Amino acid sequence: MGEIHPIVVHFAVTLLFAAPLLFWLTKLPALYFLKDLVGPLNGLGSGIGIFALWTGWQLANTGFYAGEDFESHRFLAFSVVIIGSIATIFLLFNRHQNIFSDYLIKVLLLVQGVLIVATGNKGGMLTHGDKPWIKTPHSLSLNKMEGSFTIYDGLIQPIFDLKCIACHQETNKNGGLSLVNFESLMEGGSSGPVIQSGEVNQSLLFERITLSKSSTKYMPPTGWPLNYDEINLIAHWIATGAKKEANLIDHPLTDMRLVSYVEEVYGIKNGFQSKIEKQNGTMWTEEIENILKKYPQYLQRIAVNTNWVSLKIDSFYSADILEEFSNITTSIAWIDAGKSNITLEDFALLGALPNLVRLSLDFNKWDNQAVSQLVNYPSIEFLNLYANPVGEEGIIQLLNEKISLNKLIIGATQVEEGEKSGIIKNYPGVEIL
Amino acid sequence: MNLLDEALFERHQLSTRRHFLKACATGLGSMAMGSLLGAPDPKIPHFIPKAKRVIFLHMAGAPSQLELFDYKPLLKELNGKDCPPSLLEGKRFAFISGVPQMLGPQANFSRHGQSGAWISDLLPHFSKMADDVCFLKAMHTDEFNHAPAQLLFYSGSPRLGRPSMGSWVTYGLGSMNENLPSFVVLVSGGKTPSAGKSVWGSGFLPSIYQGVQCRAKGEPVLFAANPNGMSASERKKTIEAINQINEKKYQTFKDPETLTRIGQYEMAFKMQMSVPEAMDIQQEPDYIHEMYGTAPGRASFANNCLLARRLAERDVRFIQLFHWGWDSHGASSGESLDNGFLQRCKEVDQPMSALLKDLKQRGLLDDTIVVWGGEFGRTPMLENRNGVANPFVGRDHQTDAFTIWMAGGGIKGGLSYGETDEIGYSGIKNRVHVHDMQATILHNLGLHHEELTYHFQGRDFRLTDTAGRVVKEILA
Ligand code: HEC
Repeated sequence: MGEIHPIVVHFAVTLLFAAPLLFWLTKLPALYFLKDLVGPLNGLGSGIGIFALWTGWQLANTGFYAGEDFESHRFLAFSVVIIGSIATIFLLFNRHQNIFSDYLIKVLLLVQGVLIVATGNKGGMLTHGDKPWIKTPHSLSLNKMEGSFTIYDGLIQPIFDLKCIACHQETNKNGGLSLVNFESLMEGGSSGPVIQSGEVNQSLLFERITLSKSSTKYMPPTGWPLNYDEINLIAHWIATGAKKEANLIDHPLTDMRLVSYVEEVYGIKNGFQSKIEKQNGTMWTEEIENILKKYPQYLQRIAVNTNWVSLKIDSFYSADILEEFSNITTSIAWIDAGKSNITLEDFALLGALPNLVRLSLDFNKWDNQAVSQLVNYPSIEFLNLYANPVGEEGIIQLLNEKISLNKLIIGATQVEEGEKSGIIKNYPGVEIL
Repeated sequence: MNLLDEALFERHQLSTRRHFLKACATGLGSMAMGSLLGAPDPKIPHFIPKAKRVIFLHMAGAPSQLELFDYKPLLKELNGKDCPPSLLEGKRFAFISGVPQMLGPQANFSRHGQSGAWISDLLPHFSKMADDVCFLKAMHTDEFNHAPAQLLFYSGSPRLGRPSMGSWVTYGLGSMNENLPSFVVLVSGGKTPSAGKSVWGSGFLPSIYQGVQCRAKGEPVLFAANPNGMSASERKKTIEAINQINEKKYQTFKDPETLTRIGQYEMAFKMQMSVPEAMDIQQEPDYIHEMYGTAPGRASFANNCLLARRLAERDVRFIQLFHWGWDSHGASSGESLDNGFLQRCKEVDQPMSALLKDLKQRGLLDDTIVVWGGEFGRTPMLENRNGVANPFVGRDHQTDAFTIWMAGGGIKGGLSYGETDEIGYSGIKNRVHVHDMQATILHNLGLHHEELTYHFQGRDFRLTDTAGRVVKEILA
């Protein structure tokens, strides 16, 4: 039932706004006879409001919504229903004689209105992002997509849905064109096909959206026009073949402005993204807080808005301390142990380190044997082995196992230049320096 | 002043009304400053940083983009023609007056790397690094004289009194190294920048955040070494005693500057050991010296580049290099495109390329942002000072278009961002203002440029003043 929350909410909101409005209108002599309707109307609104609370509850149970905005939305929604119900009771009691002061009721209805606006604002933030009054909804419905989704479904159809289908759907096929899905788009309109694969300028649709706005042929004739980036996205999709299944990995965006637009509006990162940017880390607990406070010279929270921790190990480290750090092993994401003389045995004291993504071991004494043990840390993305006595063998063992590796520094090791170029050629997915 | 006078003066100073008020105040500021006492003072960034440190290579005087990166074939054709009046209307120049002539590129250009970046043959070493750097070709600024432009570049305001970028960064992120200053400045070319030490000053931030200038020649930091006859343990005792007195004073007056003082004494003592070690480039192997073209014992840009790498390795947060002598007006041989400029290019080409290469091979470029640039650009017109041709070839100051490059630390390599018009006079696409550059650097360090503020004289201040946009398009 969660998915009907928005529609139920809007019923409740309409009634809870209508009732106060009517309350004030019935102060006019001409409308005085409607006075007794106000109470029932507000009551109905509050009743539907309670139903909306329940649907909202169901929606929240899906787990998609959490956080501060959600908490405030829920709190405010409860307040609306409570104030609404109290106001209703007062209104109903006052039907025949003035038991409660008119002034009190006015205040209650006013508060009710203000609370509704606040609730709506918070709810909007949950679905539309931080500026619900000005942002268009499609911009966030696609948040957090990975780079491999299809361009048409992910980027193009939403533009049509928002700005075209009012006039181009099966029941209202202006110009004989329906834009509800890929198939109907490809069927074209009364002038024939509107998309010519690979030929942006030959495509009627592109022509119609790039005409001068004063032209009678300009699309859309009314409503929100397409913006520069939306037009460029459509051009990109047509130029790369206008295929239904085309994705951003096979057809990467080359225009920097588009890349950052897509990132900003759809939350799609084109380049490499670290695991710790995609996930937020294990829960922040008092234990973590305490250990960070105890060893500020070793441990630091990586950023205010994440739960990941970085660890710096210098040559004065002791095995006991490392063992203590193993208590927060899942939180540690970065380790800088350059010039620390740390050994593999001591390193192992830190625990499983399942989320270790950056590891700097430069200027240490790690050899083939030690380096090959790093395969036990599944998340390493960046590994610095500069100036360690490791050779080709150890590096290859590591590369054969470690699929998460993105960048590997092997300068000043025992890997010779010739061997290095061989490794670089054999492992194209990893940047090896 | 003799000792007695000094003591009396001190006493009078202490009993002013201001000090009375300060002493009685419960010391709101003091709580924030308390953390300064412990040496490493890491603060948590606003979001996951891409970079931990910055190396800024500033070419003081403003190098000509038209001889280095911004290739304009049309300008070659227009060489020697009078500048059309439409380009001069409403413009103000530092020196050009009357009708100047257009000046074609004074170097040959070719494309380099897989990215095909245009780089002139004046930078043969650097052109090999094309795929590692991101060129911002439509930079612009508001100031056309050196000092205000440098201030704007580093402090976000063309007037004196604001903290410099390095101070903001160390204020925002704290120190990563308890033995070295977090913000180190190295100067070469014989002169400090026109804006003076304010470009590494801490402005209204506590002065613990100001840049520490180190010399490449002789004692790295003046007066840090013990005087003859004073042993290290004696020195230590002296400093401990002074700090105890200062701490008492702090307890009474809660003046944050006292804390700075204490911190500086402690730092100075630690620096007696750590600085000479960090600054001793003799320790480097021969192949490194060859790579950078360094000559130990001389104050040169090459030495400073190598020092920059050594400091970066030791986790100094902000390393600021200034190289003087890029103001190629053509009024003298030293400051002309046909002589001094060529010298400057030779001086910086190899070391800056070596620095990039060296940082890269050590894995340091990954979390170090390197920035290269001057405070503004130069005109596509030949400078005619006071309407008369200069004895040498040169260009005047220009605010509307210049090139800088950035590399490492979460910046996309092999990218040319922004475009200027056909003669390189104005940016026409993807323009980046100095404030935008500042916002971008802070962003990659994990700092939100609008949230990194300091309350002073009744309002919050920030590096990017009231502007600044993170240039997301150049982020890796
Ligand atoms: C306000 C209603 C309205 C909106 C919104 C609208 N259109 Fe149209 N469109 C029409 C009408 C009416 C016609 C037929 C008359 C004409 O061709 O100008 C038409 C025709 C077209 C045609 C020509 C079809 C053919 O085969 O002749 C194309 C292509 C088109 N629209 C694309 C779009 C796109 C893309 C959008 C969204 C950006 C859009 N339209 C939004 C009303 C609309």
